[in-house]
Amino acid sequence: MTPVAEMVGSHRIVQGNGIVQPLGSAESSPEEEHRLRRRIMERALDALSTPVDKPTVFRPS
Amino acid sequence: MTRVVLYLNQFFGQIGGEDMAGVPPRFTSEVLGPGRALAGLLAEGEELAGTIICGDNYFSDQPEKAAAECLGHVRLAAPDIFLAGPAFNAGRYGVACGALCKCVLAELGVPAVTAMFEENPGVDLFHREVLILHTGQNAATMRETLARMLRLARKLRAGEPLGKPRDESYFPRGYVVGELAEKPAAERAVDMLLAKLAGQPFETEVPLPAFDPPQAPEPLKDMAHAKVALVTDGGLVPAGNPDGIEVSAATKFAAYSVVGLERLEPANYDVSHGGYDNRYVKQDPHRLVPLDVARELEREGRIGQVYDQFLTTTGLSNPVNNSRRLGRGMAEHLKAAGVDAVILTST
Amino acid sequence: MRLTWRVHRISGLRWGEATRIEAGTLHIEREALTADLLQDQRLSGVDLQLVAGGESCRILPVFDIVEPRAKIEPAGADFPGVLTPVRAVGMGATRVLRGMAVEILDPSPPPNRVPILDLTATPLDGWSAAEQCRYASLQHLVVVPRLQAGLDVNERCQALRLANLRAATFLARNIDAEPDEEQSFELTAVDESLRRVAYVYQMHSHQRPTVPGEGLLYGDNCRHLLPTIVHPNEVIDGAVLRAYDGLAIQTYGIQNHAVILDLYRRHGHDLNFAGVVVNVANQLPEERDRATVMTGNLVKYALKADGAVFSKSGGGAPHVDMALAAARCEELGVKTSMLAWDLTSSDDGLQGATLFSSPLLNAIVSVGSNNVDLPMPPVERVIAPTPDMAERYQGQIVVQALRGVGMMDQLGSSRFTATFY
Repeated sequence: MTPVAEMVGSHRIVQGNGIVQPLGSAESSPEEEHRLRRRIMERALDALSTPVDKPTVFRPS
Repeated sequence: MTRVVLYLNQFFGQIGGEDMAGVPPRFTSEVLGPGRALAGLLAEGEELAGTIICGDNYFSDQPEKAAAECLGHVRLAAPDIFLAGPAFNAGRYGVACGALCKCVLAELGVPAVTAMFEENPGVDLFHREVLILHTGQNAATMRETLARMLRLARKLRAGEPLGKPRDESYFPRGYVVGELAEKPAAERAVDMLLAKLAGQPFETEVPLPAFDPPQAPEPLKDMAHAKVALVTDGGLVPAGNPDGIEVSAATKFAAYSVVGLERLEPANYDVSHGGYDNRYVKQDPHRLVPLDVARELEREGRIGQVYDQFLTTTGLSNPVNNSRRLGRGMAEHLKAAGVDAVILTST
Repeated sequence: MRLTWRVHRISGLRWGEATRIEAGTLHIEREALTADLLQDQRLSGVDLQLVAGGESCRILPVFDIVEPRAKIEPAGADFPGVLTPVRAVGMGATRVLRGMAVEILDPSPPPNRVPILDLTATPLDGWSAAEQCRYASLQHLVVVPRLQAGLDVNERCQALRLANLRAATFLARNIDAEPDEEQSFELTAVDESLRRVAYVYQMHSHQRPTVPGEGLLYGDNCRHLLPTIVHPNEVIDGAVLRAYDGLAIQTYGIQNHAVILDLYRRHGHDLNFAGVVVNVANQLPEERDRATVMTGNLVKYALKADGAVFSKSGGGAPHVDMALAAARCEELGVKTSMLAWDLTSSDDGLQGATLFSSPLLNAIVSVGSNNVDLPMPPVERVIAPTPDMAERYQGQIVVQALRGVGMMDQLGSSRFTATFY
């Protein structure tokens, strides 16, 4: 729900994979799911080391 | 005789300006400052029984002591109605007015009303417990404000119900009352839209919240040595929910150890959150709290350390004020533990 | 496309030798109805109860409520895609038995989710029961089902829903009397100067995804529905159903859709009813973005609307889907208003109100708040799946507003509102 995070003023927002499994993908194989989770977490680390001055959404590659 | 007692700060109480903000509370039967306007507004059978004056700094430096001392004076004056301020946009004054009204209500059970500008911190702190009227930013509207304060105080004293915050111009107390509107919601929505289309005035029924975001923290410079914590509002809890995190509108958060854990075993966890389909997270808690990947990043030296605990609560239907309180609590907990960064996962 | 309701006004119910209407009383052939319902072998048994409007009676847990109707033309096209094969509806004629409703109970509701219909409670001081609950003064046929053991939750729900639709259709199907009145619905050409107003109907929220077989639109479960246009007549003529757990919405409320009926009422007078866009609230961000884009385009360019009314389904999260779609419409120059509720509990109504904030979304009507607790005094009669439950719910109870069936309605039929004091 990134629009909510933006609206309340969170500065570093990483797009997850949906409401019921933000870092998951039950439809994928375990390997793919792990890769997805890894991508999202890498993006989170990027966000933590990026200067921001307003709510910013970081999308995993 | 209905005894009206007034509270003023050092400025409106004619003692002095900032230089006198430290003066302790005192009582006077003299009618001064806004007291004069107030006296002119009183009805037959009402009297201004006295005024308590206290310095803004005296109050803000030691609020409990000051409130107790002021209350002592108020009690002696035996009010039937207590009015504080109005404080307009004077922050310390507003907070003192709110605090004192709260005391008077609690200890003396007497109607207590104050008034201030919407940005006055006193509003946020006391609007739930105290009747606070809207004012403009400065004392230009002193007389009119006192008149409104008096009118509502009289209503309270007579046990009459107050009108809606919008109509009587006070800050919502924060409780919800169920009522029936004149027409069904569908009709009201069409009415409102037609007014909007015609450029006519209309008023929304649901107020939009205003958020005041903090400044963005500086980015992490040294990720490789950073202590990173995992936090979630998705309600992941140990099996059996030992601390009773509520399934909705959680009133608390909890911290659970991940020391020595490389993974979160599904059998050891549960989800206490009624707002999303929990099954995927129950199958694999890492879909919400990614400890597995966090440990990888730790092993690879990408981050210094995964913090010993993950913090959890349930964000569903949680009022903003409560969420703020929880967030603040979590932040304090994490700061005390020397955490440098948080990855917060949300459903 | 013109739809005519042939309305029979029902003021009483009784068991009889044949299903027919006599002087406003519907006689119901109990055995035939029971046999009809038990064709579905997922039901191991069924008990039927009649309740008079205004009786001191509490009915729970309510799975759904349906108004008895039957398609006359095309004959038998009832709830197409779900109860009967897919066929076009929204035109021709439909028999309506007005003044009554058919409920089915859920023998095993999720814990803390017991929707309660109380016919005499007046939890809000100063208003009558009928003013507070749309079902209070109707006549009721209550189906108390017993389900076979071993059914999974989807089968259970489907069996309950079908039994409800089946019972409602049974009552209206073979009526031979002349209707008391007729009501027609057609989007006739009107004065060009009237503002075009569309309705954006968020039918379901996939916070709880629909399952296969849980038809919402002509039997499709709309799991990945892209916004599309339907004729308002289709909505009120059985093409649209609620999800099994549609919160604060009953099928009765779709059959008598408050927003659609109000827009029809004003069509040609205050406005030009431009049509209906249906969509769903989504789980994935790109689905939500897609729905936002497509809803905006349909409202602005296909329906050529000047304004649009929005409603939502589900819980809190779908407010965001609704708000995004509305904000997009505003960006395109279409003015909007919305039906929303306060979804946060406890003390701060000021801030708890909504999940969204855009200055363009400034016309929001409250359909009520779940933060209001509705006290209900003891009743004489409780209809529930077990004697145990009946006993538990007979005395004084307190019901959360969302579970007070007929009191909060996300489709806007109710006057129930939440005021912040």
